[in-house]
Amino acid sequence: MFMKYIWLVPLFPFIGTFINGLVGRKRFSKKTVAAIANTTVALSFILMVLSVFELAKLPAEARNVTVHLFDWINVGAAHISNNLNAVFNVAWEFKLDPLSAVMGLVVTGVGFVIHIYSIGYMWEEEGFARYFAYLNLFMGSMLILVLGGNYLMMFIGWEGVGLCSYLLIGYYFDKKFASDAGKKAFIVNRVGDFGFVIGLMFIFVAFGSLNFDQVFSRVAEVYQMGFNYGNWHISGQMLFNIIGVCLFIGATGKSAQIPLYVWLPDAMAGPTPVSALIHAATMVTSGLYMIARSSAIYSNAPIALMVVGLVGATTALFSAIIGTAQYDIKKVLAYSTVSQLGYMFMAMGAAAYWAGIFHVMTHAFFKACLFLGSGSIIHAMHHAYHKTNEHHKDPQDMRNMGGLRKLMPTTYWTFLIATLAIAGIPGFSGFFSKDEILWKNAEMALVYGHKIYWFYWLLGAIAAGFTAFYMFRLVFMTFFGEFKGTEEEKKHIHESPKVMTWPLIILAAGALLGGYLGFPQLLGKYLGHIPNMLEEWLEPALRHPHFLRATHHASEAVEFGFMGLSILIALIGIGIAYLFYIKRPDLPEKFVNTFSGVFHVVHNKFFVDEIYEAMFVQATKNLGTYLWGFDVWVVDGIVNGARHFTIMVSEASGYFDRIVVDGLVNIVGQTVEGIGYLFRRVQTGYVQTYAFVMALGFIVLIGYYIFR
Amino acid sequence: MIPISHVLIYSVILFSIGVLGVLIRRNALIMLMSLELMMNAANVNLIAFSRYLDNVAGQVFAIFVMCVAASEVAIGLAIAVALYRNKNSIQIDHFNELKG
Repeated sequence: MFMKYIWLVPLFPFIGTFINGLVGRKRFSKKTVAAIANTTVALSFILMVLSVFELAKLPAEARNVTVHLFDWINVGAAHISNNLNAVFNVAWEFKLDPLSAVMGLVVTGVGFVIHIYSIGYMWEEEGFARYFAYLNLFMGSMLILVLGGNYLMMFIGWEGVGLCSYLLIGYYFDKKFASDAGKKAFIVNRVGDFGFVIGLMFIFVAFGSLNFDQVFSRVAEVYQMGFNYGNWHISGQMLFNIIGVCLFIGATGKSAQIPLYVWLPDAMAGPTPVSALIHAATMVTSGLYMIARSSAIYSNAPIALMVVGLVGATTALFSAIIGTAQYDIKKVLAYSTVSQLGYMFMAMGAAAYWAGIFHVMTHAFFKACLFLGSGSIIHAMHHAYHKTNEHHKDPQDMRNMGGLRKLMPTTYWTFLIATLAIAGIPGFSGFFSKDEILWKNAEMALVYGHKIYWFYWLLGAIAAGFTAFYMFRLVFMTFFGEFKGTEEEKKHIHESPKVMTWPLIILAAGALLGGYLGFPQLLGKYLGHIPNMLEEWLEPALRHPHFLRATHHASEAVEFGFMGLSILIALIGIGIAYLFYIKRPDLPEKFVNTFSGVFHVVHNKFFVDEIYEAMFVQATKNLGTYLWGFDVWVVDGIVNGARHFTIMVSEASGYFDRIVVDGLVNIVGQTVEGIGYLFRRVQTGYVQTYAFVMALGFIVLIGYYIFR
Repeated sequence: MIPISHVLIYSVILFSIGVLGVLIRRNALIMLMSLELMMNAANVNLIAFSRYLDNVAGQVFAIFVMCVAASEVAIGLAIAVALYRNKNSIQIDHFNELKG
């Protein structure tokens, strides 16, 4: 009975946005604002949990509930591919199945914890209500994305979280770098969205619908027929590859993969809980969710899968390398996120969708914990600098930290657990998911004979080593050794308030235990038949490729061997970090000095931002300048020319009017006047003159008669 | 007996003096008087021709002219008084209201 009301899950946060956004700032105290924002998310979480429990009670094949609210777009029939007369019919519908259930729980659960943390972290900020209104808006959009029953609903949420990322990253809008970062996130995402929209159009044209159930039920049929339009024919597999790549372009934008990853590190300009929520646990995973959701399409598109795997593996290694040379604590975590997202795409690329979702889940726990932990550190450092009036110091620079282990024990322990998880130490959640991903890639090469996956596996394995290194570098630099600041500053560093440490503890518990939901079958067999609950749970929602044909089976020894190998790689990474930052603290400096060129390039993120700046931003600006020039010279020229021409014509016309027309009229007048002037003289007004003239007339007349 | 031509020349001289008086003098009264001269020159002509033709009608006509002249002077003086009241003068060059 709760599943029927699944649409309330996204609605609650929107109500929070509505209340806080409209009247929160002026009418409510901070406590009321926080209560409203947190209650709405808590309600969503509770309803989500209840619905998922209900879903779990159903038999596995029936776990697919669609709640149809109302028709939204209903456009007449269109003649499209395969002589199919389709109606563009999109409804406002929500879908609850094992996949959206997992994502929904992660989003609402982690989101709720981060909401609580935000109360403490943002308490002294201006625009407290604005922050929570945005955060709720984000939650609502993300839940629409996850729970939407068709691609267009997903797209609404997709764009909604894009907007919210812009709003939240640019939260400190009075700082130039923050508003720039917001714009960057939005614009880079738009580039990806373009691919996504094209993919959606292909889907509609090929399948005649955007509804998930309808699309996926026609996969086999469309795969057979391919795409026919007149004489134009594309084979089914090719069509699926095109759709897959188009959708994946969208995913690279949202999930920060090469080449569209550049926005995520900049997005650290937003408040730290935002980084935790958007850039670790929710929005960036929407690309993964979308691919997992479209698994029916990807499972028939080997080339698209290969592209996904390649981009994922490259991103994983590339950003892990950049992560090793950053000093800003949040930047390290940002590149780590990009790298981990790369892992998730590696899983997708190997058609191990469940492993990808598994990593999404474990990553949500440990990365949110890491971000919130770093937020706790920044909060403390900021506080210390504030008290000692050291406003020029950067509270995010790891070189100013050190020795925080004893000053902030809760933060330290939770941070350590999350770090062990991300580094892939057995027993922590990250190990299970990451090992699964690496193994699935190795399996693709080993068992199914796709040799290219060896390359992906290698990239992933090296990236795992780098991950372990830079994460422990971070831990050693911040928590171990001596505090690098002054004694005065050290006195002011305290553990964060309870409202911030409890979320850390909850997330650390998730980071520790979350992995046991997807316990590897191999180990489970030997350790008392522990089932892999997550894989079983997700099974009905995900399709597996039919084109994979096993050449032989991998023996358990091989699988154990790979597992051992990934543990070894992680330990090597940690060992190097230990050597560099604990044992021989002079080594990093020597290393930097010896390989200054390499370090410089890596520290500056391979100058990708600069390359983009030169290639795209500058080119766009130049284009803008040219267009502006065209506007000014040609368009304005035409307009101004017309103006000048009109002025000239009217002036000429004016002259003609004044000189010729008026001239003729005046000449007539003047002639008459001149004649009149002559005769006017006669009229003196004196009677005598008239009499004189009369007399003269007489004399003349008389003279005439006399002398004729 | 005085020949008629002498009388006519006398009449012409008298008439010319009247005409000149009207044309040249500025005083309205003098002009009126000059007007009388002109009429009297005409009367001299009428009487002279009456005698010459031995017809009494001319003399009767001269009597009528004198009557008309008398009434005309009465009107003329009344006009002169009206002019004086208007302009405080009867100098005729103060009255050029007929000017075009």
